[in-house]
Amino acid sequence: MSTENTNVYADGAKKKRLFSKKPKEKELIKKTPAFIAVFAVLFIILVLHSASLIYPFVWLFLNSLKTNFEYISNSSLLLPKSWLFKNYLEVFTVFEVRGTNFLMMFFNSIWWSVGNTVVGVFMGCVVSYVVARYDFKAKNIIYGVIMFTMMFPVYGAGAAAYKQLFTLGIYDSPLMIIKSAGGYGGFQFLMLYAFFKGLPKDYMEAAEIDGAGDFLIFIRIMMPLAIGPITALSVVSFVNCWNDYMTPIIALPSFPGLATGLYLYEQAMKNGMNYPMYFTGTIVTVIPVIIIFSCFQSVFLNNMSVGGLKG
Amino acid sequence: MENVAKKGKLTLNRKAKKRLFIIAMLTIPVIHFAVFWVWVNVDSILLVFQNNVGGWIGLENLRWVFTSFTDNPYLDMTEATVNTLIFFAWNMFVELPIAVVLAYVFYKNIPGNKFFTVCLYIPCIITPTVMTTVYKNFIGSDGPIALMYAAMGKRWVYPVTQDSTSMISLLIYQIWTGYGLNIILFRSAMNRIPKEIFESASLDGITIGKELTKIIVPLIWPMMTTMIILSVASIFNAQGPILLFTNGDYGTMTIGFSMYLQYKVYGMVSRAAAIGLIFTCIGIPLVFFTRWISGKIGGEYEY
Repeated sequence: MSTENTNVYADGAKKKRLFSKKPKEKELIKKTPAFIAVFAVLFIILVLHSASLIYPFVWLFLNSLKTNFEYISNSSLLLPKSWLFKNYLEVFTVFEVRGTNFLMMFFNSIWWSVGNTVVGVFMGCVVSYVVARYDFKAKNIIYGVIMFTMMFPVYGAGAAAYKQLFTLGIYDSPLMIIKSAGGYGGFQFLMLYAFFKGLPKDYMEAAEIDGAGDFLIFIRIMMPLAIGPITALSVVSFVNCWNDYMTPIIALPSFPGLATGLYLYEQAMKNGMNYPMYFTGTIVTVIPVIIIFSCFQSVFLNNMSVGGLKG
Repeated sequence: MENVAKKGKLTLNRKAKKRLFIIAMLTIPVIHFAVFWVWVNVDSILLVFQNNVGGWIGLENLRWVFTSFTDNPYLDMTEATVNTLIFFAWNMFVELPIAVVLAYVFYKNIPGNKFFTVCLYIPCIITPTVMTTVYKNFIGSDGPIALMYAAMGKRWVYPVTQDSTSMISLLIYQIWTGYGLNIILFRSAMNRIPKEIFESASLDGITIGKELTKIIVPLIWPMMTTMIILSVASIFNAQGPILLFTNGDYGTMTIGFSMYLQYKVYGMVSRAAAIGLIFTCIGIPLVFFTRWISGKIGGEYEY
């Protein structure tokens, strides 16, 4: 019996609804011809916009299955003469920029995205949990500083940050991950702070009565409770890092990920580019984020509201 | 008496443990903040008055930036400023209103609601490297638009590399890819508005336009204000897809990208810091003004 067709009452008993489907919500605004016309126009615009976003990927996919000669000598709108799915295997060895092949770029994207996500989201939980749940003298100062860094514009810090990488010796090193260990980043902090702030005190008090220490409460009780926002933030962080092309260009030139690799390949091969191979690389680059987003779509959408910001 | 002493001891221990826990949890973030925020920002101010090897040169870097507004062969700061403002205005007055309207349309459950939401969100989860590739090939000389033009006997000119059309191409790209996340955020804000408000408004015979402008927008205004302020706060840092499209050529230079060019490509860290300092001095009052004006326009509604 699906939960949609049952009502759960206070005593726990489930009773079948009289109607299997939820009754439709009453239409509050009368659908005048003007109303219908406006929505029809918007519907058509949305259809065209969606098509313009989907079609280019179909075009890329079809052209990724051609030989370079076929792509250059025929119309790009034609279907491939022979569907070269082997391009999707060859890309891992043929696609190479500055001594780094596609497989290595794939690996770079994975460690950079996973590392940043784990470190960044965990530290975000640490800071937001402590500021939201504990009373201490510096609490308001820390909260104020975080808000200040969000709202107070400081431009040109990129230059000093770039210089600092050399001073600290983390330029072109995997140690760059420590830069994401702050945990006081704007959106992430707001979302987790609002979540932890909204949790009832009973959880902490019950655990304290049972003899649990603060660290144990954080790890064993609070973190599992926050699994929804943590998952949503992890998806956002992973996707952002996967898609980040600027950081490797600026600070990790020996560790280009897929996003950076595509840009470098395009720059390096401008006049003699193997287009189908480039398109294959493009398609392979988007597959992991599409899979991750599809898997966590509902968690992501349910948790994607700017925490703590009323509106 | 013994119990009280025990209890007192227990309380003290718990407090001490809590304090220790707080210190342990916040030590790394505080050190991180000191190193990666305080140090960086203090250094970016000091850099303004230094040359690239650390020697003090007074106001030379600031003077260089000011000359770039009028007569500097290496950088046209006037063009960069105008383009930055164009991108910002486009974001504020075109993309944001469209996102609000579309969020409202989705809120009203237009057919294909979920499909459209996912489609419009595609550019948010795909790297700009890929999206720009897709866009460039789509409007390129071998792309479908060029082929359609050819079929009609017309010649299509790749617009990104033309001085007259380059900025327009980038603005269209921005709107093509720009508002997926905003739609989701606005829609979630709309979902939190109590249904009773709409019910009482419907009894008064409210129209769709009035419902959007008189109910929805005022009630989601706090969220819109936050997004506007964050957008203003990052106005001079935003680089957009300039690197991937034009590298700042064809009249598409922006302030953010000019700073990147200075420190990364030309190795002029101090000049980038000088550009940053000047626009920080403009940006701070701008943010406070935006906050003030947003408060005046919207007001606060409790629901």
